[in-house]
Amino acid sequence: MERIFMRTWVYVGHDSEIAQTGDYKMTSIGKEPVLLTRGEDGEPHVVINRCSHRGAAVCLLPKGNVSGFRCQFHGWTFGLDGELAAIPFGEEGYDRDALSLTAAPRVESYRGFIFASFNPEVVALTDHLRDVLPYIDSFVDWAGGYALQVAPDANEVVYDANWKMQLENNVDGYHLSFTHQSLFSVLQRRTGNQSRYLSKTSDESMGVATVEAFSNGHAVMDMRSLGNEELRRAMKRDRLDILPGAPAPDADLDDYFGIENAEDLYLASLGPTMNVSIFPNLNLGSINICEVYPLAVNRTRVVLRPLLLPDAPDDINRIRLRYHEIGSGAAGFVQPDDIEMFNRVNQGLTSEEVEWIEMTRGKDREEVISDTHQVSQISDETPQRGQYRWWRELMSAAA
Amino acid sequence: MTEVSLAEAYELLAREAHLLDDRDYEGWLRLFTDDCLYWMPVDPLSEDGTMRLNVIYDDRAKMEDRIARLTSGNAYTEEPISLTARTFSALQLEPATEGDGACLRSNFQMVAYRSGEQSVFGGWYRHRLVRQDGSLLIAEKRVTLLGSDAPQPAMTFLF
Repeated sequence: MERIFMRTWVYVGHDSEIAQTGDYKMTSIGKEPVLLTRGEDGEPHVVINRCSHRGAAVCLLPKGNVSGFRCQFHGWTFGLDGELAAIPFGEEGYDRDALSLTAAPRVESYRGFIFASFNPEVVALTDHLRDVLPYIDSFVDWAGGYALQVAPDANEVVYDANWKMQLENNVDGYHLSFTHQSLFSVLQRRTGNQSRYLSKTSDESMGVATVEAFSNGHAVMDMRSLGNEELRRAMKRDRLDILPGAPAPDADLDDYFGIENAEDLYLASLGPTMNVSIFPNLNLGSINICEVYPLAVNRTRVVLRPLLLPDAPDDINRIRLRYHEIGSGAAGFVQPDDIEMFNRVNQGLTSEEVEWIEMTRGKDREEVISDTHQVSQISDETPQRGQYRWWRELMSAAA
Repeated sequence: MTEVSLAEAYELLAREAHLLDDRDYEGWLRLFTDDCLYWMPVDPLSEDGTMRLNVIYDDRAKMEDRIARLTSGNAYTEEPISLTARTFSALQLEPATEGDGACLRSNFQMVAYRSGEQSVFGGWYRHRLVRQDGSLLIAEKRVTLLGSDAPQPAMTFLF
């Protein structure tokens, strides 16, 4: 946690989670408990949730709106940027300047995604994200230019395995047909079409899906060109039309949603069918922001928050919530099967007799564009190799 | 309003508990109306799940999907299966505030056991009960799970 989470940029929140001055979100960077706040200056701040006096947490609720933070132990108060406001019963003898809440020296954001770092020397955020900036743009712009807002609730799970399992998994095209077979069975059962799609999407004369590894451990699984336009629309319709409260398959969608070209926005409820993993703790996929929190070497907390469109019709946002629920969370049809596999890997890795795992799939056929950029077929382990190359670099860098 | 006696409501809840613990999912489904809702909000205080995020939000078709998935052999969090035993208490009947029928509030505790590990879940249920063709059926089942807004392990079994 020191060598990675204290050295690089770590995702801490989305602009819409701290929209107003005084809004805050409780989160963490590695082992550091932090508060992401919107300061009086309108800027995001990240401060450690630890009173500079005797160390008590100054904030207990996961989110809210406050004018500042007051430690309830001895009444010390701090501003939204962590600056010491007042010490009760006199301030003589204290070095006031040294008694603010400790702030992360670097806080920067890109397209609403706020990152922080405790490493003052870390490169600029846009340099760190350089190769995946176009994918972040695509994720943000996918819903027809509507502004994005993180839903006020989140689906959270814990699993008994390493945090990297969740990061790898987001760009693992190989596991989909196996780990998530039961989801495809449900789709087949409801629509009768899933098997038909599987045969068509494996026809390489149509578009194919790819995976890519980029610099700094970032990676992408891109299914936007899979099949052809007609097939993609049909697959998306099938996935949405089975949701509780969805429009009937033959409904006039413009009438139903009360907007023009409603089908485009309706289909955008699945997101761009492209997953982006931003090392070390942010997965974008579907319409979700997925935050990965290492708790211990073999314990991880995962928080999934769907993105809503506050300026779109309520019915669109209702569909987006229902789509998120079908896969995500402890009782979803997708996420539990993933975390079960993470737990099983953790069980298997207790073996000390067998030291290595196999992660070479596609090594001979991937297109090597540079040392830090490789592209390959969707079922190849190109992204995972990229993630672990960067992991090794951070872990072996001098302190 | 649907006239329901406490004894009748108790009998329905006990039957439901045994059907779930016996994993008789088809029998469980038969306790529900065609236009039913089975849901667990993320926010324990949420009054209406429609425009909020939920842990579970199932119409009847999705309940059938859930059961099909659970019994497919490919829902791996249930391979091997979880054994469950649930108890309920503190039953209170009142007229439904929305929709037809009677509301039954109860507290529950459920022990789940799988692969040598035992977990305990607790919270409260709210069942909206309606009478159709003489049978008392569940039109809505709301599960308020303590900690539903905190990190949970996989919960593929039914509440």
